[in-house]
Amino acid sequence: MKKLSLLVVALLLLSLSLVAKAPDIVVVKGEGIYENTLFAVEKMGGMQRFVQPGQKVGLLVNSDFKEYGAYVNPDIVIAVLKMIFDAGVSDVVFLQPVSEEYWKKSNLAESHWDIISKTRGIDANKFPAQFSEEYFVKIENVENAKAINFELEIVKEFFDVDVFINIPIAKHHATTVLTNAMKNLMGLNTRASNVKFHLNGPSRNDPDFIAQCIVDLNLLRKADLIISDMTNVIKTNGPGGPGEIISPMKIVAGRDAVAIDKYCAQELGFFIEDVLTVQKGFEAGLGKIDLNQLNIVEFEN
Amino acid sequence: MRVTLFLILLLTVFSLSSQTSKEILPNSGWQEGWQKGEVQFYKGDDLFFLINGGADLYMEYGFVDVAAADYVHSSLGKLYVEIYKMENEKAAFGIFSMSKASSLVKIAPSPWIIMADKFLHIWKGSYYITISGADFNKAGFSIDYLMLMSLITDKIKEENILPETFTKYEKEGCIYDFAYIMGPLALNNVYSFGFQDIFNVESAVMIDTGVVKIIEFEYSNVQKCEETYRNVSDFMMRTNRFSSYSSEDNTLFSVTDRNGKILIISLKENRIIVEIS
Repeated sequence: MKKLSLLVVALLLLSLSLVAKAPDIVVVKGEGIYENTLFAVEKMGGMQRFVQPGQKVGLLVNSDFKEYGAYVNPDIVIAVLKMIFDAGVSDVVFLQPVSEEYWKKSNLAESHWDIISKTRGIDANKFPAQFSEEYFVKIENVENAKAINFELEIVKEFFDVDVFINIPIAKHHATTVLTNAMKNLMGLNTRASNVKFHLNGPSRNDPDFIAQCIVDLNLLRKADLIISDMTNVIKTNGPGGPGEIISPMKIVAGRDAVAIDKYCAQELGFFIEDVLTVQKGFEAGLGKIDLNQLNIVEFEN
Repeated sequence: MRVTLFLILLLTVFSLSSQTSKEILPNSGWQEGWQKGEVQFYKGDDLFFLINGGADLYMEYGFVDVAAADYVHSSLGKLYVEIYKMENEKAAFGIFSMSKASSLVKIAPSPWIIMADKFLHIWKGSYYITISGADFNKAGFSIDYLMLMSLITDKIKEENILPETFTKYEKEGCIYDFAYIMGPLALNNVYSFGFQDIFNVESAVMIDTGVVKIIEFEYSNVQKCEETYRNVSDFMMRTNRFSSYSSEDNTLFSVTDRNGKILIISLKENRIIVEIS
């Protein structure tokens, strides 16, 4: 009996040490976007670290742009779907719907249609989303918010899913300079709420106010996993493009939205002082700003 | 008689200026088989409900209204048209200049057209138009596509008036890329000086010759220009985003950015000229 207890303790310590050793951010560079996404999550500890059998998973993908380099490469999303279904999840919901046209941009869509077709989307959150009692919830007060002093209208299922996976693209944005993990959460808002971010500040499109609103929005729930597309992205004329496309060819995975945004901003050559969400996100306790404190592991495939 | 002519002229001018983008959209049957879908029409701040990301840039240039509609053909497919009415020709030219693509077709004096992958971007007068969904592989599509473009541009009676600063560079030739800027958001799209509007942008042209990028800012008066120049000089001397500050006199200085590019900034009457190489 004593030996068994010791074995259990040893196994527990071993598993704890494995968790402790898991990197904070994994970066995989290379051409195979689908394979590199699988590899990145594997190096983060595997999808089973983030999802459990029978769970309900919510995905938020920045897919709703036409120009190349302005939307998440669909191969990344297909890789995520493969991993979460392999992990035995019961329900996968796109918190912002993904169109059929989007899947057509991937050569892998046809061969993975069996898993794509198992997903569902919140069609009511299709741009320009309007509030409805069935699909949205009104939040009158965001705790600790500094800028959002108005009623927010957010996709209801964001709060219902067991696991939230955020899949942004790291690219230029004329007002916020970078749009990536933190800003992607604006995809959960009705259009009316998003317009308030732009117009309710001290001046129209006030960069400081918008950045603070984004940070406030992120206080509602942190992502359980972030997989950021930094493969082929626009560095100018964002968020819609067309703009100068650069190709770092990197998949960036982690859980810390502030750190991931800072890492990507630096990699894209943006001045971190200009990406106001990073400093504000750090001040709000959303993540770490000193990348030297983090275990960032980079691979090249 | 003179009074009547004057009134007719006045009414014509008024009807042109009060024309909305909605009135320019062709109706169903503009060519056999094409059916017009539901028209979306937005004015002012409601533009945010049409554009997902980037509406703020249109606002900065000066947006009036937009009309958008699908045109569906049973065998040729679908076309989608957006017609933006901007406050004036310069605003329309500015937003058009942000539509980067490899080929620009200039029909003198108008319209100007940028052909992109499955997109046409058109500038005519105070209107900026996009037509998307082109499938040139389908027989008959190209002709209908061009006919639709022609129907739209013919309804716009204005001509293209270029900003003088741009014309000056155009005459010199060697324009690889260009942009017309009317605010800090557009400036951020061509070069980032930080989120603060240190140049107090009124208007500017960006000309990329392939060797050097020139941004020429124009101000409504010399005093404002000189004050802005002094503030910019002071900012660049103190900030850590630029280094190697060197000033020749009160009208010229240079700095190096973090990417190793040299910026030469000069003051000429009501203009500040930034050369980046």
